[in-house]
Amino acid sequence: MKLKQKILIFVLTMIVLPMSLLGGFAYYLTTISAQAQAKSRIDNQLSQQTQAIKNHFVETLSTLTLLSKSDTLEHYLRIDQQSERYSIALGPLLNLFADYSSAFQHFYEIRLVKANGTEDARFTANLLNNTTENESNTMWFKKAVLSDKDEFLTLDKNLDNDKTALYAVKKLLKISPSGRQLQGELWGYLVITIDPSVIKKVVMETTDEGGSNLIINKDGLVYFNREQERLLHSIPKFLLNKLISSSKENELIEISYNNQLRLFQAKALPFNYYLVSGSIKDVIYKDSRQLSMATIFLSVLMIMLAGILTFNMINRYLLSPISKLSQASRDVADGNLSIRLKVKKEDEIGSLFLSFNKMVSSILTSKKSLEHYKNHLEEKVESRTTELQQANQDLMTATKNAEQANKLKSRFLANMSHEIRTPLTAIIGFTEQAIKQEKQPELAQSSMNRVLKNSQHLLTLINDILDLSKIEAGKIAFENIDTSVFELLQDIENDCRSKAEVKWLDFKFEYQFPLPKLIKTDPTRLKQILFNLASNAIKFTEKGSVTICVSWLTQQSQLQIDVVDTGIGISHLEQQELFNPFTQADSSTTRNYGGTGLGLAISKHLADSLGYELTLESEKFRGSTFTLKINHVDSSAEPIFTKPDLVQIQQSLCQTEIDLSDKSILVAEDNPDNQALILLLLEPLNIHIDVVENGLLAVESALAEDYDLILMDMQMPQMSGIEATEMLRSTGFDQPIIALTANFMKSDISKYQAIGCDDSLAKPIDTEKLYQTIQKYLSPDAVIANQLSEYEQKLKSSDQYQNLSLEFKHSLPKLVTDLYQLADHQNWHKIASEAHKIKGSATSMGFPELTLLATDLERLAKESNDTVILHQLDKIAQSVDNINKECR
Amino acid sequence: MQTENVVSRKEKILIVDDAKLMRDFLKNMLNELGFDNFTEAETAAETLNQYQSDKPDIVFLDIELETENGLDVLVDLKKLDAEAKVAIVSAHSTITNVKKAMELGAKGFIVKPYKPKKLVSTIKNLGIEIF
Repeated sequence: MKLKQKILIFVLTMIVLPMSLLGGFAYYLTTISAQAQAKSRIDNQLSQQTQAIKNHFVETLSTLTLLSKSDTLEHYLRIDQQSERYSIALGPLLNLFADYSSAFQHFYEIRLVKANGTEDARFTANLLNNTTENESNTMWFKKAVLSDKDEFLTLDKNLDNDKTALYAVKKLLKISPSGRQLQGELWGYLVITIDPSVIKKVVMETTDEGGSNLIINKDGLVYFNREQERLLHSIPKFLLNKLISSSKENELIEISYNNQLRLFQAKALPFNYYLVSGSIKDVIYKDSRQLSMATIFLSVLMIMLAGILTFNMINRYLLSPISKLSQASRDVADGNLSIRLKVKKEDEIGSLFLSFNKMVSSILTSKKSLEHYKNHLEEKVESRTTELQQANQDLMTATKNAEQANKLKSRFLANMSHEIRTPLTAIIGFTEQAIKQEKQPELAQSSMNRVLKNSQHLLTLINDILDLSKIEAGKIAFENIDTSVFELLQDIENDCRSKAEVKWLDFKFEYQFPLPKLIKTDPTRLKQILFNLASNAIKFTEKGSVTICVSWLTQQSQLQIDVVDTGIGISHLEQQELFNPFTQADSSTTRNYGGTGLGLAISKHLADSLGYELTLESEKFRGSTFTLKINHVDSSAEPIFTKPDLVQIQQSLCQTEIDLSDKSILVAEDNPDNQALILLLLEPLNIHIDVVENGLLAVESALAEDYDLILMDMQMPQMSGIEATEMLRSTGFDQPIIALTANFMKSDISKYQAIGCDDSLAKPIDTEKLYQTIQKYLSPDAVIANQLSEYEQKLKSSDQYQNLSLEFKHSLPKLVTDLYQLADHQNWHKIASEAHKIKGSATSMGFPELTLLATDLERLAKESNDTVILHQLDKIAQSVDNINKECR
Repeated sequence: MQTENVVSRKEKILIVDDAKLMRDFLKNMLNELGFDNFTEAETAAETLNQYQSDKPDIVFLDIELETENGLDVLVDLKKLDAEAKVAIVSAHSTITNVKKAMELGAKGFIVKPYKPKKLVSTIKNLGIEIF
């Protein structure tokens, strides 16, 4: 069932039906009330009419009684003799009658009738044709004879004029001559014939059109009828009964009459008459029907309006938007995406439409992008396929490279393993031999030399590996400072000449002047490159020469250094692999020539990093030329034309020029072997050395003692050398601190400098550098040293100091006595604090031995070690004794 | 008592130590360096009073006072004057003391018995140029 039908049914059941019921009820109530109103109106009218007739009757009867009791009539009746009566009393009587008749216009005949029915006297207002003088056959007479009432009213036909008249009859009794009424003796009747105009008038009165009024007697005989033209003589018996009962129960009777429904009601009148009043039903209910019709009309109108309006509203605000929406949805489903719903109002439907529009828009967008994708799919597939092919190729290359690298690495590791084991084997073997050869010092010496050589080789190897990994990881910071090429090459010559001489090679330097005096470069790294190239050339050359040529290509702003050898040469195939790490021209060369195979790789990497070019020209068995081109050597650099004289620095072990015997240094180092090594290395210097194993102790010792220098390992447990140095500097410690570190990166060194280290030494310790550094820092500024010693001298000799010292000395015996007393009282705490004071002052006063004794005493007192305390006190007393003796 | 060839120095120095002998000794050493403007204190209360009234340039503060801890006095001095230049003097170089003194803002830590050289470097660290 459609929503529309459902809503229609809903509207019908919930709105139209209840309203119809209400309308029907209203109609019913209106009808009832109209009927009641009509009935009451008829009833009222009837009551009024009845009352009027009754009044007329009463009035007539009372007039009749008044007349009957008049003296004139009595006088007349008293005369028994007719003639006498006529002659004497008739005149006044008729006058009386005339008076009444003129007073009451409708009394048109007043008579006296004898008991036998003959007229005795008569007054007639109109000239009536009086045909009947014997009234014994008239209706009123018959009624009078039968009636037991003294007076009554009756409606009867006047036989004289054949019209219905009202007869008022009063029985008259005979009167004796004395004037007394004779009971039981009827004289006759006083009869007034009355024109029924009053009754007629009442009958004619009616408010309703077509209404009918009737006067009937109990036998149904009709006397008066409003509708003269339809004279009804008598009422049928069944109808009469209904009417009579209606008069009693005061109800309306519905009677079909002349094809019209009429409603009748009867009311009783005196003397067994009834006034019947009736109206055409339609006429009575005309108003009420109009009201009912209006009610029905209004109800139906309201029902229809409510139904239609409700339905229309729902249709307009709900159903039609829904159907629009559904139509639009169907359109969208059919592919019409240009459709948009018109949003008229900002209600729920409006927002629904907006959402729909948005949805359609987004569908449109996605459809467009879908189409776009579709259109570009082929292109993409093509390009992706190409990319994929490329990637595949790359991947294959990469895989190949990786495999190769892996192979090289494995080979390298194998070589490395061999290379590391070789010197280690020598080191261990010769060390064992040296220990055994204890008694043959010369042999031992030779063994130890081999150990040293192999250790140095091992160190180089490890350094090379570390270097290479650092370069590859890009962790090296480069300097760019003024450097003399000549000095640099001098260093190379110093380092390599001995190796060349061993092989009887000609080791030459060729300078093509002019050359720049200084170039901007990183001297350490440049030296490393050149050293590698030179030592490589010497290594692979068995005979002939190794030449280093230097030339300045001013136009290209380049300095070119060629390293030319007459060695085994390198084939073209080998040349391609040469600068790769982990490669030597031939793995067999490793075995033949030794080395890590890292030198060239390192050089190449360094040259690249510095922006230099390192190239190779070689021919197998004819020799090789490595060319290094240093860029950015400006033509503006100062040129020189001859090789400058360079001082050959001859360094030798233990060449002590300054006497260091009065100096003391502190070594902070956690590793016992390194502690021992340092002690061993420093032994020749003949210096006082204290060793501590962490930063905490270093700080405490440095503050407590007087050291001229501290060798501080940077990595120690509990407190690092860095922390200790920082703390010492903050307390005002101003003696040199030399950092010992395995982290010899430039960044580390500058960090150590920043926190207050004066210099840094790399681990493993280079003995020569250690000596140089220590000598450098133990040769203090002569001026300051002089000032200091002068100050110390002055201080020692000052009177004040002498006095203080003396004072202190004199206070000592008392102090000792006090200490003993305290010991008696076992007041260890006080002893500790006293000892602490002595410790702090004794040395300053010139009694350092007392400070040592007091230090021990303080420690013991804190431990509450009583027996030992007493022993210590004895020692102090002895010392004080000696001091005072010396003094004397 | 000052030797003639030593330049006289204007800096005011507050010496806090409960032992008169040690105060005299330090005074002697400083005197030979050219300082001659001294005030002295034995207790925390005296120290704070002297500091407020004399406004010394540097303070030598003994850590082991008779009844008080020099480090507490240091805290109070720093409250009085956050810029106060204080060198701690102690017979102990216990690391906890050193650490705490430096954290509390001391500018020097000198351990008894000390040599003239140490005193000189300590004074230098307090920002006074000598030699």
